[in-house]
Amino acid sequence: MQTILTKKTRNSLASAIAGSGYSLSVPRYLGWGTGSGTAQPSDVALFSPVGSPISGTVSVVTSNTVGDTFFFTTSFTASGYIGITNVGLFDSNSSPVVGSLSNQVLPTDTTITVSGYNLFPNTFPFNVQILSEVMTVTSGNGTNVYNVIRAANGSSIVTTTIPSTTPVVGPTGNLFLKSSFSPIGLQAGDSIQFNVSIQFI
Amino acid sequence: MQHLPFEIKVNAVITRASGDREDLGTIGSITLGPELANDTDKKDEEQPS
Repeated sequence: MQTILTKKTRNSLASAIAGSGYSLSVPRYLGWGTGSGTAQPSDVALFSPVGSPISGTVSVVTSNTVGDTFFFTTSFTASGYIGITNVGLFDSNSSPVVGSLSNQVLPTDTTITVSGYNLFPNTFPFNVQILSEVMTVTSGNGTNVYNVIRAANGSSIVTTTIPSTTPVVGPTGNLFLKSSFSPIGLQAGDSIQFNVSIQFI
Repeated sequence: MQHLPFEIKVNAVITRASGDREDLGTIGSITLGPELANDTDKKDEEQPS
């Protein structure tokens, strides 16, 4: 299991300490996904996100010293079987755009062919995440092919062939924190509560 | 000894449709990352015995 603060969050927190402002909105929305992978600071999306992030309750609580801990909590009930492998805190509840690869992608490729092209923005550039790699989409053919810059946002290029049908996750709200773990299986009617705490020591 | 300036925990509790409660505890946390762990190893190696 791995939990990370994203690069954007790290920069924003450091900027706040330096007095140059905090650039993120309150991370009060939790999203979850079912894809496999290990959370990385360069991530901009969940692994195979499901639906829209849901709102939760944000508070400042006391762990050791007064008000030293950010605390977030939310819960939801599954409507059918789901195996949750990762969750993230977002500053927006907007639904992520999710398409999929129509063709496999080689490590040397600089174009991707996607299903769901029309779901993605029609202005460039924007980032997409495929597995652990972030790619910057710089242009498209208007139908199904994007030109991309590989290994964007400090991510590492996927050095194996990425198979077709792999999810392509597009822009959404800012990802503040991400956690990946062994699958948590829920059946219809099961509910789960997630608590996220960040305690400054 | 190395201290992190913050601690992050993600906890989960399942309530099954049957009413059974399963506390999964901490499913995600930030501990010493690889870079820090490597730094620690390096420092340990550099210390005189």
